[in-house]
Amino acid sequence: MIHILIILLLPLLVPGLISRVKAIMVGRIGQSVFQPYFHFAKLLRKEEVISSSASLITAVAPALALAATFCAALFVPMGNSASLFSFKGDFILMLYLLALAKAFMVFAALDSGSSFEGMGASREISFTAFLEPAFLLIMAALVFSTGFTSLSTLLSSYSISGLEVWSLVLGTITVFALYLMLLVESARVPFDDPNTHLELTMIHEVMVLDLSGFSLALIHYTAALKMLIYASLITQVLIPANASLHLLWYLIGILGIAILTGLVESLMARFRMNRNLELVLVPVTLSVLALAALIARSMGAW
Amino acid sequence: MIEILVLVFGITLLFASITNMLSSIIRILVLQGLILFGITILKSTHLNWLGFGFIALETLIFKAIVIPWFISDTIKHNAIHREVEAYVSNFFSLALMSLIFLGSFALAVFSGQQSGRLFPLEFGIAFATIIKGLFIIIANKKLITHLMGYLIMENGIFLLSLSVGTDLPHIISLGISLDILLSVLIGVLFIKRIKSTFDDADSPGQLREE
Amino acid sequence: MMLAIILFAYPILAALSALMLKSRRKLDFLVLLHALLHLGLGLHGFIKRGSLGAMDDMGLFIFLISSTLYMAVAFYRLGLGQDHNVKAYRVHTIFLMLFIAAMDAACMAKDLGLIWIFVEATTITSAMLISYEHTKSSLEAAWKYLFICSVGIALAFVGILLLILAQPENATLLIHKISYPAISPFWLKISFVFILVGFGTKIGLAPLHFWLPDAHSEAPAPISALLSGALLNTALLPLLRVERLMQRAGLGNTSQQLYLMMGFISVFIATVFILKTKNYKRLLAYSSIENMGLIMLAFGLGGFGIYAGYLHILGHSLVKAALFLTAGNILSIYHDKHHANIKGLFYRNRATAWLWLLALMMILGFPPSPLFTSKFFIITGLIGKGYYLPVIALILLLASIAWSMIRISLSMCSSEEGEKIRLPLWTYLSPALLLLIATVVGIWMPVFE
Repeated sequence: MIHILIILLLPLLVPGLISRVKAIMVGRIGQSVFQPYFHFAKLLRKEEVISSSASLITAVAPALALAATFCAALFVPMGNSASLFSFKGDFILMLYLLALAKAFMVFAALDSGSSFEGMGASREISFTAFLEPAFLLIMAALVFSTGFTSLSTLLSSYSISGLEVWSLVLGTITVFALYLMLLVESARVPFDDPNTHLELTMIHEVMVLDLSGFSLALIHYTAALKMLIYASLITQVLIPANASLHLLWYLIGILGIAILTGLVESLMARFRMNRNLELVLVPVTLSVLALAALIARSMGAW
Repeated sequence: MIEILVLVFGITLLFASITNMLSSIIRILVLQGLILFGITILKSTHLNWLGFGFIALETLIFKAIVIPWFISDTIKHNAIHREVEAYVSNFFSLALMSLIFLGSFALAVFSGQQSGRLFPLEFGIAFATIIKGLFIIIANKKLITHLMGYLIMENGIFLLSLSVGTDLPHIISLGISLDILLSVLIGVLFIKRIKSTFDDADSPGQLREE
Repeated sequence: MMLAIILFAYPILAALSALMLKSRRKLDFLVLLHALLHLGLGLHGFIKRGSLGAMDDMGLFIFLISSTLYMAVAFYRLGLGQDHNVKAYRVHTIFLMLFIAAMDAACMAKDLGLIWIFVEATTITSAMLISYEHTKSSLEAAWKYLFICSVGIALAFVGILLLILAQPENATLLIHKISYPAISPFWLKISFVFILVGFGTKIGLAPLHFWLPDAHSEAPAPISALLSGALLNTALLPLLRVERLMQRAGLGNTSQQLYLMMGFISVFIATVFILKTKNYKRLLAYSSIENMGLIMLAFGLGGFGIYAGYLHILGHSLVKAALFLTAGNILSIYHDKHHANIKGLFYRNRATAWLWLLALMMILGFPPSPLFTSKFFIITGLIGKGYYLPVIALILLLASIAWSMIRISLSMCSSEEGEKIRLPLWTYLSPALLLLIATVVGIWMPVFE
């Protein structure tokens, strides 16, 4: 029950919090934290303007993307240690549902017939192409330490305790890699600037340049939901296994990540485009290192 | 504790793949020297003042202080441009780094099954460091970067000597460190001379087969 | 033990005192004294085995070869011209003595770790010696040499560490104490490959030879003689020691196969480049690669091939040093390194021309050179083991090398142009002496164990 409520209501809070933090950091008062909700409601009422070269895909793609992301969110434990659906190995399904959502967005971008969207789509794909192996490797490291089960069981049985040094190490690497993935997937600084409207430098924004009204509202919500999924993964890794007041810790975690992202966005500049492509490999290398070290450690003598 | 230090050592290699500045590679060398100091101290079972002095000298003073100081001094005095000029992009370097990690850990696990005295984690990361040092030498244009790649390789060999299970006698360790220090000194001297005769400190290509 | 201390104390003290000397003559005398001391101690160690730092016979052999060469080089330097500034000469002398001291220590040491340290020390000191002239090409050659050899030696150290791993208990690096029944063959093999690659870089085995032509051709003549004649042998020593270990541990086949392979590749590559090269000093450097390849072939055969190997080491060092010293003479006459520009050597300086031709004949293996015997043994050994096709290839390669070298030298010596030049006596005497010793060895053919 809580799960559905969180999925429906929480996502749009995260971008709002990020914008508020950014505004405060530069000395403005900034928009209200709930502004994205108002924006969402406003967009629902607006009329859609559709490009003349668009086809059916543009009409259905945002809805399909939302559907895929929503289904992916059902497998992620939010609010307490169990998710709505789970079965053995469901994290693979979740990964590919997210990839499906991205595929639909890319189709919509290509479908509009403008070269800007095509450019944005290709950049987006090239940046995120290496995150899938990273995610699977991280999952592999978790599976290696706790066994091949469903995502929620993995996350809940994996606990970081200060006493056992290796869990600390693995936890740090996992959280860091996941956070990098969050930044890349939700198109945040330092990988992409969501506020820029210079065509040469847009990546994610440019894909949705041609959508308006209801479709745009769905896209905003989908992006926020994706960010929430990654943030939930990070939070669940950090929360110890049998914690009471799980919901409270969860909310603190999500909001903490949002504030952290706001700080990161304010304090860093966006990297050059070609550097981004290089840096996207870092989660992969980190997770390779973690996995290999885990395996070596389990066979070694100290 | 040792394992964390060794893992951090491995992560410094990642930094070496990402960075574009010479000064960060020098910082990586300093960090590696400090980590090696920590690992050696934690690993030695019996420690008297003399042994401690030797170890501190080799790792802390040579690797973490003296050699990086020499190199940054050379860079300043010869006005070497501060960018690492690589022949391959950072992307390729990072991808290769992942492969190197995979390969050396596979080798370490395989060797660990063959011999009981090995420490697979140190062995794997040491091997990865050696190969990464070789790669830095091959894939870069500047001579000073070649020197730094050689030093990273030597750090890897030091870690390897820690991972085979017996302590090397102190005399030999000291001799090795002195050798490395001397080669760095002479290398730096050569770079100065090469810069003044060739007017640039890039990889010279004059002697061809004729 | 006392003698070993004297052997090492002298270079250090002499190096310190050289810092204060101002004249070339005095610096030359320091070197001469060192050479005399070296030879004297070597002969003493030969007569009373084991008195010089408990050196075993292999080390003593190489030590004596180095002493002979060092004597010749010290005398040769007396005949060199006075056209460089004293400061550079002083540095050069200091590093020369330190270089010899490092080589001696590498011959004497029995602990693989110590051997490694001293071989690396020879790399460092000789790199300074190569770049004596501070020209562009010599600096580049010295850098390449320093770098490639240092990286190679580092890999050799990986092999040494793996050797520690190969011993299940009481791991030691003292070669004669390693207990070979208990060694794990897997690790020994891997360690051997690394050591072969590492020390092979220092020896100049293809495909790790890239520094050798540049370094040996850009260095001044006496240094080239020492590098080719003494340093390559010193780097060969640990390899032979580890190979003996492999034999005793039962893996002799593997090591022999590897030796044969690398030896053959070296001869092949040397041939290819000798046919192409235009610089006569590079020609000599490639010939060093070829001879090192032949030495590896000899040791890879086993049996009487080992005798042939040692004979070849002796012969090659003596004759190659003579060749490099004579090449130094030619360079001081013509000031040009390309052999196409050198004509009429016979007319301009008859003694040098005779030395050059004689030395060349000896290096190619014409009797009474010791290389004739060793090459004969190598070829018969190969036939005896059934390697017919490689033997034919080897003979073809050696013949091409001979053709190329003879052609070049004859073109250098023929025609009559230019003015006659006389060189100081020492520059003739040193190579002549070396050739004489080589001839005596070739005829008498001492038997070593």
